[in-house]
Amino acid sequence: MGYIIGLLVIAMVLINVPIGFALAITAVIIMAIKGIGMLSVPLRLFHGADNFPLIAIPLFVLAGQLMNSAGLSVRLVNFCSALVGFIRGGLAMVNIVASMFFAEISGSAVADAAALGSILIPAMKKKGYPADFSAAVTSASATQAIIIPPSIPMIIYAVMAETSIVALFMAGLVPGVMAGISMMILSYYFAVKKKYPIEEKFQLRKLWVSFKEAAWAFSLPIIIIGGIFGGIFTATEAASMAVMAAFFIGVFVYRELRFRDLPQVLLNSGIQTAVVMMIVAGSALLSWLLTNELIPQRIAAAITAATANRYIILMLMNIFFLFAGMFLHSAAAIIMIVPIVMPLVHKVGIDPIHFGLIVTFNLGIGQQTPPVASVLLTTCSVANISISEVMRVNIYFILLALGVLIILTYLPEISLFLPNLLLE
Amino acid sequence: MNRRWLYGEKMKKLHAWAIRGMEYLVIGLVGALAIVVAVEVFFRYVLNSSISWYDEFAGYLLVWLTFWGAVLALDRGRHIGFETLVERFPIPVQKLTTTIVYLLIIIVQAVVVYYGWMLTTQLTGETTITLPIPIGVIYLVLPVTGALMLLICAVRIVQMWRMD
Repeated sequence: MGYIIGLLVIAMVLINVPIGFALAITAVIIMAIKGIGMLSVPLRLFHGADNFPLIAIPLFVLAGQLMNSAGLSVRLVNFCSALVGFIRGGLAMVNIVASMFFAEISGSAVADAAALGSILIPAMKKKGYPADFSAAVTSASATQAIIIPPSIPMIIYAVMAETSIVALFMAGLVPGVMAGISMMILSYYFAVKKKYPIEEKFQLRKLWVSFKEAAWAFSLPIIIIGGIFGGIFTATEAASMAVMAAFFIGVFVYRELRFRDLPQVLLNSGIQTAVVMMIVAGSALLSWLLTNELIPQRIAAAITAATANRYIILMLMNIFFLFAGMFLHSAAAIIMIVPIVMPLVHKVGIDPIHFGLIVTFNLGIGQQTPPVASVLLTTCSVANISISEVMRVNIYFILLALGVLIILTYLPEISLFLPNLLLE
Repeated sequence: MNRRWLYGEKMKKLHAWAIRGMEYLVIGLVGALAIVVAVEVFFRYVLNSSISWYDEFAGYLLVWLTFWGAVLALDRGRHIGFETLVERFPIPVQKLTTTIVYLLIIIVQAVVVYYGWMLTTQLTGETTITLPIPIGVIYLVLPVTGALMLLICAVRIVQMWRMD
């Protein structure tokens, strides 16, 4: 039965049946064959979507979009420019640091890449950076910032793996900063080798001015990170506070948010949420069947019969998720695969929080790796360059990310020490 | 037989009007979610109390957002899928696969409409736990949006094969 389900899903996804529907159709076919009552179809779809922690998704998407329309992103970029623009290859540094801040608010890599890319890539090209490097660095920093909280894929993982969103967010902070610094080092190497320009001289006064301008924007990471880590807010509450803050700042402080922009912003967030939630709903229906058949447990038993070595299994999982991430949307991959592999993860004693971090980072790498590469595609279209041209530079960023991934995989303490410290 | 009505002016107007209506609904749902969570935070931290219907209401808002948004996403072709392979097929093959995709969606939505309606009628007597609404009304979102998605796919198939 497991094979039939797998083949049906893969066949449908290959001919471009939307993934949420493919999961539901597979479930319906199996139920028809086995004569299971179809009343469960609407019931499971409904309860799949009625998933309280996922309310954080539309709210984080909304906060990110409001922040863009409200002029927060531009001020954030200006501040980063004053902060790191004096280094050779300054705009690349600005790009990476801004991505790290931005990730803390928007929670979505494609949104990051689109928002920052449209500001920074034209600026980089104008200053004489090659288009391939500009697109690659934007895409790499946006995808790796996926593990810096808040992260929509992490929220989905936590729900699917039935673990804590807050702990996962905490686990992402140090690795996210680590990935950011490693990318800055690589960019610096490129900048020195190819003589990229220096953005501006370091001036304390300028830093102070741009900081004052962006100070309101910093309230968002403080609300989100501080609120969640300090145990004041749940992820959903923090997301809602971020929405209110972005709205307040946009309307009353920066005065760039116009009321007539609001419907579009709300609608975009709604549709972006619905497409993810449809997969959640379809997966709820299919996983109910899979669990009835004990398929995840059987997969766990089959693999542990071959090897129960945690490190080998982690390596296999890495390869598997990397491959999945190259083809699938990150949310889709998490929703489809995580419920199936969790029994295995528990059985061999991998920490589910650590595993969540690895999975998310892995899928982030997949978003900048062809053939699908949703984020890379976004930055390429902004930079007006083809994917194959960008790959000459992008490959180094991917290799670097793989190096970071291996470190994070085999040194779980890097991820886990912060949640262990704060959640004692 | 003249099938021009399927892509005539009147049909276009009706379609645009229906979509506009659903867009307002989705805008309202997202707005309501943002506000209701913020109000709950205010109640909890400032007034030290809690809204009794908050969890249930917010959950149902998300469900409605999911399925109404799914109709819009289907209309705009925004659902998450794997286009990379199909894009490389020649156009006639793409037309065929797209038709199969729409047919599959029609089948699953037919199941959702039929059994969703059955579920709705079975549940009309019961109300929700904390809200004064019959639970059947909330479940109605499934057969209604299912019927709309079914309709969109059916119209698209006919349009696709009739256009040229």
